[in-house]
Amino acid sequence: MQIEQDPNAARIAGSTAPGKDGLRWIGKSINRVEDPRFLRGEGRYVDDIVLPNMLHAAIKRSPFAHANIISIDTSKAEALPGVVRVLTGKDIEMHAGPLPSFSMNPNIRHDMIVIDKVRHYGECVAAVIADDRYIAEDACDLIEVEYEPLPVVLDPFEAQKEGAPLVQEAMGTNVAYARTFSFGEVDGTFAKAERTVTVDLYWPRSTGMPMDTNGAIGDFDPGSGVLTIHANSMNFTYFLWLIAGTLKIPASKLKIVPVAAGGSFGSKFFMHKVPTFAGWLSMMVGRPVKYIEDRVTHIVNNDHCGSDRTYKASLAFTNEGKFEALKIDCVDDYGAFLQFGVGTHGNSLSQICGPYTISNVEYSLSAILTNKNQQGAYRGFGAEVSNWVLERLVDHAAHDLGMDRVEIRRRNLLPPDVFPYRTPTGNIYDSGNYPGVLEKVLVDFDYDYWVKYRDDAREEGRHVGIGVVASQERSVFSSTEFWFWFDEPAFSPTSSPESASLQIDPTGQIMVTLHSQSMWGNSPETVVSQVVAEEFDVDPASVVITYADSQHALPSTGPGGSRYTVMVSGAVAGAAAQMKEKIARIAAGKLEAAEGDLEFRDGGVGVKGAPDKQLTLGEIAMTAYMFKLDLPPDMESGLATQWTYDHPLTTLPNDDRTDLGFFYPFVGHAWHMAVVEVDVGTGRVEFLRYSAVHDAGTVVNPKTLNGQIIGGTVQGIGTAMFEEYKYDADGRVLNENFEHYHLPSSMDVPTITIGHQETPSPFTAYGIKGAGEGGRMLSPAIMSAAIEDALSPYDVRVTSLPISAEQIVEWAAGD
Amino acid sequence: MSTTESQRVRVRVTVNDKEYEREVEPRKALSDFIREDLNLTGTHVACEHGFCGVCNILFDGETVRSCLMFAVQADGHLIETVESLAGPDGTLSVLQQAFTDHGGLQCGYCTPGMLITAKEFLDANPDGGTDDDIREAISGVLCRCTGYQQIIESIRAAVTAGKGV
Amino acid sequence: MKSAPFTYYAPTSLDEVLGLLAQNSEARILAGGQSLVPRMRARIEKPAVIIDINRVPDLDTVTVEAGAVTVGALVRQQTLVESDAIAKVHPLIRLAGSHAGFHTTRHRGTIGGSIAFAAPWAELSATVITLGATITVRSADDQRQIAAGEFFLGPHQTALQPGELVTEVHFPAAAAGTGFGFHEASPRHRDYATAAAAAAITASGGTIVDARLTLLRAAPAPLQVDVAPILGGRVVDAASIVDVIGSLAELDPPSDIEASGRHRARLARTLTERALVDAWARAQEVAA
Repeated sequence: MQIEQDPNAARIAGSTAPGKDGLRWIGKSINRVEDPRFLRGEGRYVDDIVLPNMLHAAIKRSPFAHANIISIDTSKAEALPGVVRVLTGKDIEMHAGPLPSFSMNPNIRHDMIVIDKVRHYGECVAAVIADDRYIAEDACDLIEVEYEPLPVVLDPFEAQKEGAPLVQEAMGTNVAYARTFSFGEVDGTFAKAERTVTVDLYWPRSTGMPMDTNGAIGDFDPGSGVLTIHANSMNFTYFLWLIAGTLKIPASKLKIVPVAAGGSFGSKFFMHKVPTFAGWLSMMVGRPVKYIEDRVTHIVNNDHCGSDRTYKASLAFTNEGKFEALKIDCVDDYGAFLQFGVGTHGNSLSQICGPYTISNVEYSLSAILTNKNQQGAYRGFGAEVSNWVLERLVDHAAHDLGMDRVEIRRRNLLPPDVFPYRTPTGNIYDSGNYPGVLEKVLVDFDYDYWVKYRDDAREEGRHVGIGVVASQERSVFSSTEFWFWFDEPAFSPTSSPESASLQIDPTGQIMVTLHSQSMWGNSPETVVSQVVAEEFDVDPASVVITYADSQHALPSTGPGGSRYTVMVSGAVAGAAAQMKEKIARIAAGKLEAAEGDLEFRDGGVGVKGAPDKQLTLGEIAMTAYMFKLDLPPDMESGLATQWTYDHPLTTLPNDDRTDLGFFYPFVGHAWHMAVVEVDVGTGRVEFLRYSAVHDAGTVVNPKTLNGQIIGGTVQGIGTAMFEEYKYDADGRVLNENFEHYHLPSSMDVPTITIGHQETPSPFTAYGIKGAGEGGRMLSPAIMSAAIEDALSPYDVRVTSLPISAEQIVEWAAGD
Repeated sequence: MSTTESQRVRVRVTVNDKEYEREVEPRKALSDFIREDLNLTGTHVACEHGFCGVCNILFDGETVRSCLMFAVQADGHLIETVESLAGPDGTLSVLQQAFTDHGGLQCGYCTPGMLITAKEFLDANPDGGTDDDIREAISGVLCRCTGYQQIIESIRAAVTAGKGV
Repeated sequence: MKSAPFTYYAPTSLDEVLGLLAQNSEARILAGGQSLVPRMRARIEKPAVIIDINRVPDLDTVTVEAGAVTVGALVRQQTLVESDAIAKVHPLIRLAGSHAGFHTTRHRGTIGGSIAFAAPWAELSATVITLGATITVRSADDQRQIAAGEFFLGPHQTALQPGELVTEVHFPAAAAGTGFGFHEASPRHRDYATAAAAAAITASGGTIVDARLTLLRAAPAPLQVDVAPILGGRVVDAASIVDVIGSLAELDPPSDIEASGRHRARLARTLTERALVDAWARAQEVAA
């Protein structure tokens, strides 16, 4: 198909496309430029920042999942020495607006402190600001809250029934959304199908759980009316004006200062809660206030739990194993609020048919409210769940046919000549060579060897199993995925840009300013340094990176949905192109050469083929800054450019939503293969081998990409084996600390061998695709498949996660 | 306890070869003391209930979870934190260099706890150790970013480089 | 998650500790702190008084003599695990003790603290019971010895009376020809045990003359299973294991957030078999 990008995006893609000469700096595993300060313990995370006159806040959390607040007595707390202010929902009513949300549903109001009704365990019912955190917590203990407990609804199926307790009364129902999307001819295909498989599946909520919780320091200056917020959460320009609305100040008086985050994985994606809260607290007392979530608060109050979905899914296929149609019915337990609308299903729809030639798909979705914390973002943002569903169906189909699980996938892989490929939902896959990835992983993993190993082990009575998974890795979301769910959305933005500013100072020092909070472990400075190095042929370590606060920031969406590397590379490439144009004009004049004869080399610019006709960047810059009369007459002084790089390929959905447009078009492809051995007496699972091959287009830094793949894979293993929010009958979270919420340790994880294939995107700078979420998209399906295979003597089917030791032992015991 | 006079206890402790003297409330956690009273913010807290190891420090040469000790317990003892590893001019130690050479950190939050725990391992195993030994040695420190593999490779590289730390 | 305020004492003699304990019924003893302090940080416990015993001299001695081991209550768990002298005469201490948390927590955690806290998953509880240890307990005006088998009454419940402090644990010499086994299942490596089995088998002349089995999490308190009558005069083989497992049929283990009682019952059977097999193999090694 013919695809036209906007001219800016097309120009950047064209001018940076990897040529036959290859790339100089992109593709090198250089050491990260971020590392030294973090290795020395000088990372300056938000809790490391101390402002003069700063106070500390703590919150009181509700012990009930559903309750009216009858009264709050704060008198004892206020009397405690060292307490400055105690705030409740009454103060919110008077001094703040509701928190912003992507869902834009006026019936669902979410506040920083509960005003009248608690809707999930752990909601904030009061806040204390005190001289130090110790006193603030003492004061929280002294606040007396009278609750009227209400019946709790925790099951999304119960929640849909007549007479179920209503989580959001103004809605009159707990069904926040229900719709079926159909693409192609689904019912007819199923009716004629030679074979079908149907599975009931359950994916429980877990959460990103970074080691650094969400935190912020609000610093209100009553004199100027400017509220500064130092925050480790992500996006700010994307919805700064919404946060300002909550705080009831003009957006131009809101200054968000980005602070390095110790991990996010989605839990810091939407900065609406903790930073807004810290800002508000500061406004209430007119002094800086630091608010950092403690771990329990992070687990129960931070609202970025992952998906919590029950599926009925079916696959129609032929006797030869060709997939024909897919039917998916999903009941999604969203919790009490709906901050992303149903955007997490946009992620699913971006690659719902996986890497396979399926033309007919139906997707039914109900979003249900319950008395749990709301879902947010967790690496994969919903696509990792539908990947798991699809791969479970494929494994079941293979079993139904008695066909090898690699072979059935091979038969259905999209061939290399179909790209850019329009999927049934309308999203495209920009480029790919899926058989190439498969061939590579078969060799890297040594599939035949392990099949024999497993079969021999099985004869000895050992429980060894193999799992294979193929998956897409979409990257760079478009904002349309948050609103195309509605025929008439209240707000339908189509912008999701990223900006970069570039400056070369009179000494030739290159400086890049980034315009979002982008440092949470994903190496933004290294990526930018390598792109700058590529553009100007300088040492990446010489590039200085700074971060703009929101008052000085250009539009930037920040990281998330594996977008950052692609978007910031485009922004830097755009700013670099303008910079190089200006430099070339200056150099052409000084070197008395034609601009077309110039090249950027060795930290300068010179005439091609004439090594002695060269100027350093410093010489050019000095001229630009200090010698106006040496410049072309129409050129202004200085050497600074900036570029706002919009999403390079996004289109609108059509009116009836039979075509959702391009909303997640840069799609990588990966295969994982693994071998496990299961101890059926204890349920312990050990890894014997784990191989991964990823194709995410042009790789900027293989070492850091490998780190992302391994880290994501291990998080997926956590989801598959250990992690799950557990509730009692009253909706209290039972595992609200690390004693009972189990994260993978070094002893629970495989050693992963990683291979790369690079099929560049035609549409992005350098052909890069986003890969940061990758491993987590595959490993839950791997674990399911491998354990199922290991337990094949017991004819087990893995249909829900996590796969606990107890479940394994029970399957094997069969009693 | 809302008495206006709270108990203050004197603490004299040597941290990274420097002597400090402070007066603290007995309930002040050692992790908070190091971060706030001594302004050594390299040691991080992630859970504050002793289950993650991110706050590991060396206490009389052995790793301890600093969030599970009170500052008053450190009176008269020797503490080493991540700030002691690099040279006075900021030159990375062999161990720190190995981490950046092998991708041993991403967000950097667990890194001080990992480095301190790795240092203890290197000091205790002058003849090196297997990857399994390394894996077990760090099993009490949680990392959410790396999946541990490149951390183990980093420590292995430091072992090979001759155990200088 | 900051601890609530408390009054702090750091006595430098045992008498001072015992005096303070007698005067302050609400006081808690701070030894290793690896179990107490997490509870304080979560404000599950808010002791008004903390008695830090880490500065009391002579509570951390280790004596190994003629196969018997005597350790002061303040001996760190890692000292117990690392000691080759102890491992030589009582290998179960290292075998089980190395499962107790991580080396980092064992640098602070003490044997006295573990015993007094009596967590139902504590490997050292199973160890002292299986080895027939004697626990010395002191108060301001009394001293007594309690057999390990009578010390643990339930989860976090012991035979300790108010004002009493564990001061010493004595492990008598193992009988010649004794081998030990220990197996544990936990959610992740070194998490609190979901279930565990500690076994000791003494062999003489090719058959079993004595056998002990202690199970964790098979009952509210560590459970001593009377296996000696079943195994006496026999060897560990498929038949004798079936009989031992059969004696576990009435187990009613607790259910909690980590596992059901049903799963713990299954684990009890599996881990018992593995621990007995190991103990028997090791008994034959030392007999040979």
